[in-house]
Formats: sequence, structure tokens, C-alpha cells
Amino acid sequence: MGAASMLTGACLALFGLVGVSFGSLWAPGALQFFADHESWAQLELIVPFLPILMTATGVRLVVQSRQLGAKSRGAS
Amino acid sequence: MILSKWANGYRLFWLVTVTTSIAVVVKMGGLDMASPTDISSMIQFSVRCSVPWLYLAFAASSVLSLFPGSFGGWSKRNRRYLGFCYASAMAWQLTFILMMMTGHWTYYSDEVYAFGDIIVQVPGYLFLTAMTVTSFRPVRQLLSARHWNMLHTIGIYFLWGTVWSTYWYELYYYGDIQPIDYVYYWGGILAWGLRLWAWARARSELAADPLAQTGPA
Repeated sequence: MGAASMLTGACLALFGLVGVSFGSLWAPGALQFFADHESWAQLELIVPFLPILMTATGVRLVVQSRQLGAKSRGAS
Repeated sequence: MILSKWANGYRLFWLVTVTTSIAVVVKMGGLDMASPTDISSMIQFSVRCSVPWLYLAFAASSVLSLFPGSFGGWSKRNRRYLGFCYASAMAWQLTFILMMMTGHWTYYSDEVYAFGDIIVQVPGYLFLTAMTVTSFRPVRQLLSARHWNMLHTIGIYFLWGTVWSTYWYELYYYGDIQPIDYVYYWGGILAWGLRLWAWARARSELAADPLAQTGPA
């Protein structure tokens, strides 16, 4: 469970960093998606933050799984 | 180091504010301030003058916890004044926006105004005003420590997000890319990354030290 969580977190963080670094690959498509769906148009404001959120969530998962690992080592 | 010896507190604030104001006035001298496009370029210029101070204030405490040294100490000690420097440069931006709105409303509503901008700009100015006012002791005392922390944490993230996303749109949407856009885009990522790194390290250290988690018996 801890290892899976850490791996998921690392992948999320990595994808987030790729998203931050290569916005030109995905940003036009994402902005177009929100522009095409009028009821979601205001959500366009969060598009720049998607890779930031991915990275933060990934780092949080990695830190949490390391904390769980440290706790279980302390308990045993 | 000159930073730690001379540029501190209100001296730092006045140094930055006077320098920024001179730069703004000199730039204005070369432009036609009756022209809406030139006022628009002054709006952009004043934001560019303000951004480094926001990023420095945003990352100040993280820099100190990650790299304890003279620069980290200086930035943390002067975080309040770095915020004031940002606020003073943004006051220029507000001045130019008001000039545009009062003198060239048609141009503003046709060329500049976007609903999304208003959603972000108005709360941004409200946060900036509230954060500036509550940085002075008599007003700060009106808030509990918890509410003050909440206002300043949410506020600085909001302001960072507003500024950083502006450069994201410059790079990935508008297409009129200038080298400064890359600098401020990556500067914003660096400032946020330092905060994330400092947070992760503090959490990891907490996990490694069970006594710190449970506190004294």
C-alpha cells in the first residue's frame, strides 16, 4: 500500500513537472476544451494550475507514504 | 553583504519604491499618456516592476528553512517590506488601470476588459489591500493570530497564482512571447517549488522525529 502510494505520488509529481515544463503540448487543447463547453467556460481559469495541482498532490502522497513508513518502522 | 547591512526595513522599501517610481516616470516620459495603447503598456510595465518582490515575499520563509544563510535571513527578516514593495509597484498599476477606465472606457471595454480578468483582479486588489493594512501593528491586533495567518496565506497564494498565471497565458495562449515572460513564469515556479520543497522537508523531519509529533509528555 505504502509503495503503491509512493509510486503513484512520484508519477503524479513527474507528470505535473512535465506539464509545467511543456505547456505548449497540452495547454491549447485544454483551453479549447473549456472554450467549446460554454457551461464550463469559467473553469478555464484553473487550467494553468492543473500541473501545479498534480505536482503538489504527488509530493503530498510521497511524503505521506514516507511518514506512514516511518511510523510503522517505529511501531515494530 | 550589502543586502544584510543596508537594504533592510523601510530603507529597503523606500529604495525600491523610489527606484520603481523613477523608472515608471521615465518610461511615461517616452510615451503618449493620452493614448490608450501607451497606458496599456504602462500597466504591463508596472506589473513587471512588481513581480520580483511578490516572488521574493512568497518564497522568503522557505528559502530560510532550506538554505539557512544571509540571503535566507535577509528575505525572511524583510518579508513584510518585500510585500510593501510589491504593493507600491501595484499602486502604479492601479493608477494606470484607473486612467484607462476613466479616460478610455470604450477601448478598455473592447480591447482590455475580460470577465475572467475582473474575477481575478478585484479579489487580488482586495487581498493586497487587506494584507498591507493588516501588516501594521494597530490593525493586526484587531485580528486573531489564526485569522491573520489565514488571510496572509490565502492572500499570498492568490496573488502568486494571479501573477504566475498571467505569464502562463502569455507563453501558452497569447503568443506574443517576450524573454521576460519566461523569466517570470519560471521565477514563479521556482518560488512555489521552494515552498513545496520546504513543506515536504518539514513533514519528513516531523515523521523522522516522533517526539516532535507527540510533543512533550
